Amino acid sequence: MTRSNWQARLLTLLKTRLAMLWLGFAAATAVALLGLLKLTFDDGLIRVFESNLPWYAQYSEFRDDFESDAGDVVVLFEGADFAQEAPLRVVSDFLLDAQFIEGVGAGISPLSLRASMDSTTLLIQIPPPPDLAQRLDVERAQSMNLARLMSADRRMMLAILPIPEVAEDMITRARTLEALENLTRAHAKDGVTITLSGYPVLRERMVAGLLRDIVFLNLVGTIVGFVVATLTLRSFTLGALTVAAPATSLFWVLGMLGHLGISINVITITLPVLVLVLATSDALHISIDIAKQGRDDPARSTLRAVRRIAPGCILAAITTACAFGALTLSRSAMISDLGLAGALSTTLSVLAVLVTQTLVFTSAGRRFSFDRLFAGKRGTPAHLLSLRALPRLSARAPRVTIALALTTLVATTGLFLTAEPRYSLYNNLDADDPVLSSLRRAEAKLAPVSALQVPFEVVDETTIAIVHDAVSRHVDPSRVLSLHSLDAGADSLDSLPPALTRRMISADGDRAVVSVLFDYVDAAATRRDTDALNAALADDPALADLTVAPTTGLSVMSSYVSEAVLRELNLSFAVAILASGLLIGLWLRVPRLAFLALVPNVLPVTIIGAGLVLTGKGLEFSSGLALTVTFGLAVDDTVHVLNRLRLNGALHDPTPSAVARALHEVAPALVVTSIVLTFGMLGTFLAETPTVIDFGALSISVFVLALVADLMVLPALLSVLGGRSKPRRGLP
Amino acid sequence: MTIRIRILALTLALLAPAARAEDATLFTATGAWQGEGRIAPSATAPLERGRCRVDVSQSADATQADVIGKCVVAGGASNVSMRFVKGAGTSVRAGVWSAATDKTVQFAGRSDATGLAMTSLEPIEVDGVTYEARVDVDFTGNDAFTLKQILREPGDDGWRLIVDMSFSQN
Repeated sequence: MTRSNWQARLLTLLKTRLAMLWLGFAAATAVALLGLLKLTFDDGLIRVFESNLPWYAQYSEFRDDFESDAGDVVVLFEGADFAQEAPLRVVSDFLLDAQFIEGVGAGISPLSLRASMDSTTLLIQIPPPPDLAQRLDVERAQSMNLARLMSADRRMMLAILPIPEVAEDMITRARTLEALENLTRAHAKDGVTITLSGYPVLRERMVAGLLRDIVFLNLVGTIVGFVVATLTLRSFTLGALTVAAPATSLFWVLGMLGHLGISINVITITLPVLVLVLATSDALHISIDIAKQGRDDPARSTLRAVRRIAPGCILAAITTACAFGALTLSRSAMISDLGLAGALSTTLSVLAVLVTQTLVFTSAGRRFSFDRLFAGKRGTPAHLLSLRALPRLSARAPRVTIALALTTLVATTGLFLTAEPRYSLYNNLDADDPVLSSLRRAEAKLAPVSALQVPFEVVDETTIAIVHDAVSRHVDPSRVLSLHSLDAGADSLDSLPPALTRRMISADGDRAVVSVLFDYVDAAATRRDTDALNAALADDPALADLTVAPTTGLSVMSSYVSEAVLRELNLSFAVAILASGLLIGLWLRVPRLAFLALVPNVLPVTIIGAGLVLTGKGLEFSSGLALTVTFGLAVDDTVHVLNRLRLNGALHDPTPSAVARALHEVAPALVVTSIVLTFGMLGTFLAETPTVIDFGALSISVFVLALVADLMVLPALLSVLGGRSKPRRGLP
Repeated sequence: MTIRIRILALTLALLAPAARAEDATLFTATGAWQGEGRIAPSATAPLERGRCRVDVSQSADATQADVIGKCVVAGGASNVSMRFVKGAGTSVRAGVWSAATDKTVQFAGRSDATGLAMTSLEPIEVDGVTYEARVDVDFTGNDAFTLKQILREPGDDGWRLIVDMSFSQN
């Protein structure tokens, strides 16, 4: 079938079978709705590190053998002397009732430590004996176990409720933690406050934040899209008609994510809103072009506008998909998933926009007529939006503009390449988050909650003592924990809570672990501590005949894997640049233009990247992903400029006047879409998840810089270096 | 490595039927019961504060009672599942399974209007040591009773108190 036949058939379909096409649209939307119902949320705290990297393998082996703190709910009791009956009864009541809650099957607290010590010394009865305060003080001075769970002034007590069986099941975990929260409210009395923290609580807060954020971000994005479309097109009706396409895109994409089983997490949370703003941008391009077509035949005018704008939209979607696709190179399963989801989403999004715009405007034209819809200046953006001053400024000195741009590009690229990876397990929580605050208070008055774990094969009881002593020689001995530090050896195992023993020795008894409590600051500091300990243990002659594994644990694993994965994001960025250049080159069949087109898009990213280095922020997950993904989005505007040159027949000879004409025609749409992208992402500033805020800020910065580069650097490059003839100074 | 509070599981087996042991009530009781008192988390450990919660359901012919419940102390908990069968006259038999031991232990005894007394039919093994067990229940009101469980190694004269708890219906 020839192209004209295909278009004729589509036009006939639009005119004669519009209801049938709407039915197909409704069916696709129904399928999306089914997918939407399957959409899941995941904090991604651990999954972001799932990879084939050795540190993850070591951590997985450790988790298989030992019970880790990843499933621990930490309960902090504060405010009263816990040697007194009333506050002690509050703790006891809480711990007893908590264990009737689904998923809670044990408790580690000063009230359960009796088994590890002389039972007559630390049997905390209720009512307490008169000398309990004195006994606790003596015991605390002698026992690190009690010192970790009760402060010196006895006004802070810590309990651990392991919930490993429900920690990974989001629904059950939420139910368990809600029941525990209710219990804290019911039992907090007699001057005692009760706060829950620990990884399950942190993860639950992150998931709750994600749920609120995705609703909020997309609501803001949709409202902003509608307002901008209404103002740009100077018509409430046209604004409403235009926003139907991005809304459909969002709906279809969320449905697709649900069907594919890709959850919304701290990494993928921004994907839907990116799709939304991208789709709004595409829809506006089409709406503006529909206004330029004839008004007698809505179906023909709509189809013509879609046909004219579609190549640019599709190429823009493909370049964005390439940027996302480059993320599939990451060894982090979650980032790779984002890459796949992003590539599929942007592709599906452009399809949704083209279909929806065609159906909506054809139907609206039938109902209201285009004469009425586009009466006066409706559908024509104000010239104010063309920001003519920028291309004019560039046109006055194009070579200077190019020289400045290239110099900046080289300098900022050099700086960007020195960006150091930065990561903290607490990146996704506010510094003043109450859960984080309670952990900090517990660390200040009790002991660090993070641990470097040194697993080793057990030959006999002496082995544990040898490794314990060896580790103690290289760190603060008071922070080293193992079966050896319980001071009773294997005989005491039977009387310890299983939740505690499985942290020190594997279920089969073949492996044991020595834990070193340490103050977790961030990944870099943890790597330094770990490297130092590993080096010291490797050189320790006492361990020469033993099989001691590299130090691991959640903090350790995340520190090393985050560094490797963040460094890999630079590779993804480089691949995204190459793929975008290649695609533009193939589309235009003018390699030189493809190369030039990359400059105004790489430049904003390197400027922001250099800014991250100069401000000492370094490369985080949010910034690394934002820079790669927004590069793909920024390319879109450049593609629309090149598409306009192509439509005007000036692609092979982009003279200054041809470039100026193309910019004059397309600049309002570029400005409008940049406004949509920028304002659409403004909602991120009010997000609950700090990384979402960072992502939004960086994205907006790139969008603004990319617009400036497209209006200043791109015309200069095209005028001076893009054509066969020598560039002429001055644009009309 | 042994698992503590195995005794709890065995104790729990006796709680629910005891709650309605008087005459016809043994096999007509249903619903939730809560216990407050002291429990020894292992055969040799001292008593400490504990709580129990059980749900009771009956067969249609009122000859069989099923009990599902949990007992806790500060350091741990134990789930159990059990079945009680009404015998001739006032006799009662019980089969008890607990997740902690993964074993079924048989008990038998008699009930009257004031309470219940049951004895394990076979030695109970905890941490490699065998014990015999007795349970005494005294009804203190329509919706309340006390339970005491004692334990000793065969041949020993002295009994050790391992459960001392008061129950009431929720």
